[in-house]
Amino acid sequence: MLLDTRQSLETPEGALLPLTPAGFGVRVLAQLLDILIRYGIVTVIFIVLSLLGRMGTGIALILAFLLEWFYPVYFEVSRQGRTPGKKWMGIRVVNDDGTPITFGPSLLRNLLRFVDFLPMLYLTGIIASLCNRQFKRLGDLAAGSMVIYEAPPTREPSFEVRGQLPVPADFSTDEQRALLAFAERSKYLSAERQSELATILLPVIGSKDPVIAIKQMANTMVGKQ
Amino acid sequence: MNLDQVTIEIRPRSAWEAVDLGLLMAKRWWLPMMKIWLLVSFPFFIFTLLIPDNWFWVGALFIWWLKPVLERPLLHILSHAVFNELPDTRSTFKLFPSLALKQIFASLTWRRLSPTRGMDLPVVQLEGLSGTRRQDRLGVMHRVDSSPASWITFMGLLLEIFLWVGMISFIWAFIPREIDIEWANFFFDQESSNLHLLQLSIWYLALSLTAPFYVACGFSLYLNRRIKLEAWDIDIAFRRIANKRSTAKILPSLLLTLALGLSIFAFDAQRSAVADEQLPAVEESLETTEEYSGEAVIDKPLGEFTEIDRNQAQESIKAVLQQAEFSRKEIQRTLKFDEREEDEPSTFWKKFFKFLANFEGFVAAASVLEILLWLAVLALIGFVFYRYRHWLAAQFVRIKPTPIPKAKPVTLFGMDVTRESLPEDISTNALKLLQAGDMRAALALLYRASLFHLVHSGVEIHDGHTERECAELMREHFAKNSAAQTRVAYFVALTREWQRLAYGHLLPSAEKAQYLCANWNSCWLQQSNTASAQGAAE
Repeated sequence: MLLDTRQSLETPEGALLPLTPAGFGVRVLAQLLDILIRYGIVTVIFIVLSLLGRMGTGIALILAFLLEWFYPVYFEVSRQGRTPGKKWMGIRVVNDDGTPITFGPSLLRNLLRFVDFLPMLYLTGIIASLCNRQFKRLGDLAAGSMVIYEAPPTREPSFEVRGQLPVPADFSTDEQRALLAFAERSKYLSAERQSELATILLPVIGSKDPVIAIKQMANTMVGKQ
Repeated sequence: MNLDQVTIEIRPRSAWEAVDLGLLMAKRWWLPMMKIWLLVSFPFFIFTLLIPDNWFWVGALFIWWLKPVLERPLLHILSHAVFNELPDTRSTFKLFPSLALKQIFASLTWRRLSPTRGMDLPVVQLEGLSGTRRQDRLGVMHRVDSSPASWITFMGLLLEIFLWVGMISFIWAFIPREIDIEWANFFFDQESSNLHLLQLSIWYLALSLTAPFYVACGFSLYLNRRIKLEAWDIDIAFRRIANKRSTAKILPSLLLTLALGLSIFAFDAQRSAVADEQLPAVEESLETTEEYSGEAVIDKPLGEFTEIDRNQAQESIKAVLQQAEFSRKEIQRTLKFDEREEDEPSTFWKKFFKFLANFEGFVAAASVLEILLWLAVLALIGFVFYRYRHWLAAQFVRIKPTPIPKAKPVTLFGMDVTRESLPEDISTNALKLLQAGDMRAALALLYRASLFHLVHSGVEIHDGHTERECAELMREHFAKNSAAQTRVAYFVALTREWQRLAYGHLLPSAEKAQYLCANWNSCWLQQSNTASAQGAAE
């Protein structure tokens, strides 16, 4: 079996949902950012409320407690599983079946954060996440949630070639997708590499300039002139 | 490099996703990597143990410093395993000297602290580049998707340290509380610790645990960059398309081979089925377990459970620890800075600070400051209320917004309705125009003057109204004013004639026009005072 980060969930309708679980590296950075934001807010709260004496300090402590435990829960539930840090890094929390996370699982996974934190700085969580394929820390395992990468937004394709050419009728969906991928990513390939790749298909396409031919086929597929 | 044989899914990934793939790779080939790592690094670890105790940190640093070289065989294993040619430990070990010596000086000196070390190693080791060509290649590699390269180096270092501290505290957790030791000194203080061997071993273990993951993540970043640069996935897909089409032509012959193969396989299966039957049905050599015939192991009665007095135990442990065997006295002579001299010049400053400390004025200043701060807070709150008063008012109190006086229109329906554009005496001028034969201009003048008066007596006419609507507005406006009824009637009549003329080009009869021109002044100017007063009141 090929090693891959992407895992597909099959829905009851038989459709495949590709999900990409996120490992600890990107999550550590997201968490770091959230910590910075949280502690920035806590500092401001303490500075302002300490003017009110001991009463103010008490209120500040309560606010700090709430912020510490419910900051991630609030954002995960109300923002489709994205805390500000996660949003920045392009990841989000979902349930095991890919649905948006709800209050219960979110609360559970964030309360169990301190278990993952032990003995220091998420060592348990990191080791736990390396022991399963979805990179779940203990809190995720208990709550039935996982952290995945967001799909990058698709941009309007532009292949820098005019004209259309019919795609050979016997090309399967995956094969058509390969043609499209070539056209889309040719911007990032050197001209030599482009022609090298396109020449592989020369016997199938049978055109003078296979690079242009493939791009024109891609034009046909996306409906460009 | 054979792309058909890859064991990882080739597709362009985001940078961090590539790091995750590295984690999966490290997990998959954990065992071969660990084997070669231990084989290669263990001699160096033994060497560090020979370093004198008080230079123990040098040993720890030494083995950490050698990591770039020790990691190279791991990369060798990974780079082949990805193409399904997992090398065995023996051949990798034989290769180690040649792998290690490649640009070893640079790797261990100025490149040792390079944060992108993990991602750069493949360029040296697998592509064999050096000098400016290496620099150029690295420039291409780092152009995009390389930010995690530094992060994983940083995180790897942190992970090593945390694993080290974590494992030490794990061991510490198993030391009973009765033994009252200062654990922090026990492990971290150089003078009192006799556990350098343990610390060094744990450090080595931490390095060993992280190394495969670090190498794999760096390699995966490198690989991802190359997949994107050279479009490996498209290469594979295109080859597959081409192969499929070319094999389609030789399909008949392939079918024949397949059929042959199947028949052979069937024959094989038959034969193995026969072989299975010949196996002995049940193995009956299971011997009964030997009877236990020796003496009873526990010969003393267990007796009653007596609870240990913890305090007493602690006392006795202390007493034992205080015996000569458990302690030794050392006299250490070390150099220290002489701190006596610093006292002398500070008498003035001391006095000064003492004076400052007892200065009563600070208390007053502090209370003034406190008052000022409170004032500032109040001012801030007041400012916020003032700043958002409209918003607050909108939230809590429904205040009728003060009507904004509308500017009187200057032109209506493309006609000038300012005082300057109108002559002093409307009727006379209109009659003059009428006599000159320009009936259109005469009526236009009358209409304009009427509109001007309407606008300034408070009828809210704007550009969007039709002539008929103007008449209606006027009728409503003066509904209660009986004195103005003649004016209303006049305006209705004028409007009708004006519409007929302006849109239908139908001239009014001469006497009608005459009447309108002559009566304008008497209709509009007589009660203008009362009308404008009424308009202002509304």
